[in-house]
Parts: sequence; structure tokens; C-alpha cells
Amino acid sequence: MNPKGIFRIQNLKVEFNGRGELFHIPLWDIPPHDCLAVMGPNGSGKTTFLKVLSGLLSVPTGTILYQGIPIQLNRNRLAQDVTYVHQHPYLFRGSVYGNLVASLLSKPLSSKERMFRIQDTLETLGLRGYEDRDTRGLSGGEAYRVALARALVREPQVLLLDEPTAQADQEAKRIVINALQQVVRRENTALIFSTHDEDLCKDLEARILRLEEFAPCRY
Amino acid sequence: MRSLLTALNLILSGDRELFTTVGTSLSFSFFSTLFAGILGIAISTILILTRLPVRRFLISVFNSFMAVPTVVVGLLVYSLLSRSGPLGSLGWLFSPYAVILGQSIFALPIVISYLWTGYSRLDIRFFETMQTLGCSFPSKCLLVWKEAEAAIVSAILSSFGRVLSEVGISMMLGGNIRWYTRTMTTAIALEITRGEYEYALALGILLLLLAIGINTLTLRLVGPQKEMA
Repeated sequence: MNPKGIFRIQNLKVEFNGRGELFHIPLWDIPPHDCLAVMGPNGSGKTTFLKVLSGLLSVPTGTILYQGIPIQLNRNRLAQDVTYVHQHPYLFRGSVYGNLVASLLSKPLSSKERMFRIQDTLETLGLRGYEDRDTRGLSGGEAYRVALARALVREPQVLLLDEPTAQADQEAKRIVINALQQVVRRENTALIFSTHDEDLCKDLEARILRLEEFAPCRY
Repeated sequence: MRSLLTALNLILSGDRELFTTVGTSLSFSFFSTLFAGILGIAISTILILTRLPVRRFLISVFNSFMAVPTVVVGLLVYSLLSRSGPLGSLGWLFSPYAVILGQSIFALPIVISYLWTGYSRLDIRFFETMQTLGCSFPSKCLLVWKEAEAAIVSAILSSFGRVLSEVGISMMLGGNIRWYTRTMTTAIALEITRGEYEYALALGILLLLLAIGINTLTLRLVGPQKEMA
């Protein structure tokens, strides 16, 4: 079983479209309230790694245990506990508020609690006043913050973010970092994100997993 | 020219039989599109949201059914509803029920194929987002219908147009009975054989206007702005 980590990665090998083996992680534990930055050059498999952890991609070779159970046998639990945000997120048609409501549909919450959570999350991400905005009119940075709000409002056990500050300007970056620091401080969510931004890792005091160190040949 | 003027006169005078035929066509098409729409939306949504191993095969079957002539559908349903057929006891043959049943069967693959195409164009990130947000199956259905709203409207209106203009099913299953199952297309076929060109022309003009109306409505509802969005 898996006493140490919320995730245990064993012998994970990822290959990519005929480019050979991207990386091979023999053993890696991710503790329940970890803050882990996945780093590596472009094409090193950061997004693939996050998608495999989220269950969106099947485990190519090896085993990933989530709470001691292989993730392919634990998909329902994974869908409830683990939330992944794309680098270029997809927002549902309609309003910002509607997007946050959609992410809470599977949670047994009263309407009052739901509204409180949504307003609180929007406040945290500097999105107060965006409730009725149509998602189609948002900039890339705003869309990412809405997607992050949609993920945070669920209060997931594990939050997986693909390059969370890649599209943000200075102000938006500060807001995102503040929100993520709150997540880290709350200590009820494991935060795993891919990034090229060393400063972000320092701001969040993240452990770093450098995928190139697990690549069979150096980049 | 005289025929055209007479036809226009028939339309403008509000000829009772003419407009009863139009009403019959519209009501048959409405109900058959309604039934095919409900079933088609349900089937295509299940197919897109589940990983059924046979779903590609089913879609290719539905696509193939789109090419089946209406008389073949009519013949199939006729054999079911005829007195010696398995559903003969219902006594539906040559009634509106038979026409609506046949037209629904005809429209179903059209709805499914249009919707499958529309659903398949949805961004892969949309499906991944629903999965990672832990959406339940009913929530996923609602989200898919909202995202593919334009495809749904397009599928429904296209099948309505196709059903409205078919003649084989209405003729075989309805029997072209005056004041009862006579539709615009069966009436046109009949009036031509009787040499009543003016009456056929009036129906033809109305059918054309309805087709233009449906197309205009489709473009308004799912036109370039919606597609771009």
C-alpha cells in the first residue's frame, strides 16, 4: 500500500509519438499536502505527466497509486478528488458564474454554501464583478483565472495546473500566486504544477521534480 | 404564366383544401421530427459520452441509413403495419400514426449523423474538463447540449426539412387520403397525374417558401456568428 504519499509513482515510463522514451521515474512519492513543481524543457513531458496523474491519459508503463489504489481502478475517486487545469483552459459557454456552478454540480452543497464558495473564490482570484461576464469575451489571462477559480471552488484534494502563470501579466500573476499560496497554506490540498518559472517555485516554496533528470538521455 | 397566376390566386384566396394539406404536412413533420429529435439526441449523446466499443460501427450504420430511399423505409414500415405484419393489430396503416412512425424512422439517422458531426467538432479539452471536474452523466449531457446548441438546432431543422419534402413514406403509409393523410408532396404527385397543374404549382410554391423559411431560420439560429463563437 502507500503510506507515504497521496500518489506513489512506480517505474513510470512515458514515450511520445516515436520520439522514444521521454522520462522514466523509478519511484516517487507525492505526500498529501505537497507543493510540487514539475520542470523541464519544452517537450519533456510535463503536460503528459500531469494528465497521467489526473487520469485523463492512461498510464503508459508502470504504476501510479492514488491513495494506495492503481489510478486506472480508482477513476471515480480520482474524478472527485483531482482537478486538472489546462494551460489554455476550456471554459463552458455562458457566464463565469455558470462555469463555477457547473463544477459544483457533483458536490452535495446547499445553494447558500455554493454561493458563498463561489463568491469567496471569485474574490480570491480578483474576479469580483465578472460573474455575469460571457466567457467568450475574456482574455487568455482572465480565462485562466476563471478556470483556476472553477477548479479551486471544488476544494480538490489534488490540484494539477499546467503552466499557471504562462499567460498572466504582472498583476494577474500576483493574483494567481496569492491564490496558490492560500491553497498551499490551507494544507488540505496537494498542489502539483508544471512551469518554467523558477520565481514561482520560490514564491510557493515548491519541491521540484526535474523531468530531464529522469530522461534516458540529456536534452 | 396563366398557371402561375391561378396558383398564386389559390394561395391568396386561402383555399381551404390547399391549406389543410399544408397543415397536415406540417403537423406530420412536426411530430416525426419531435420523436426522432428526442431519440436522436439521446442516442448521439450516449454515443459521444460513453466509450462503447461499437460506437464507430453504429455511427457508420446510421450514416448508411441516411442514403436509404424513403420508399424503402415506407416498405419496411408497411410490412410491419400491414394486417399480417407484427404490428398489424394496431390498425395504423393509412393513418397519420403510420406516416409519423415512418417519417420518424426516416429522420432518426439524419438527426444522429448531424449531431455526431457536431459533437465530434467539440474541443477535446471540453470533454477532459468535464471529466476532471467530476461531472455526473446528467451534468455532462446538459453541458454537451449547451455547447452543441447550434448543432442540435441545425440537426432538428435539417431533418424537419427533409421530412417535409419526402413523398415515398407519406404515399405508402398514409395512402394520400383526402382531408386525412394527404400531404403537400403526395398532393403534388396526385394533381400532376390528374393534370391539375395550377393546384400542384400552388403547393410547390408553398413548399418552396417553407424550405426557404427553414433554411433562413437555420442560418439565423446557427449562422456565422454562432459558429465563430
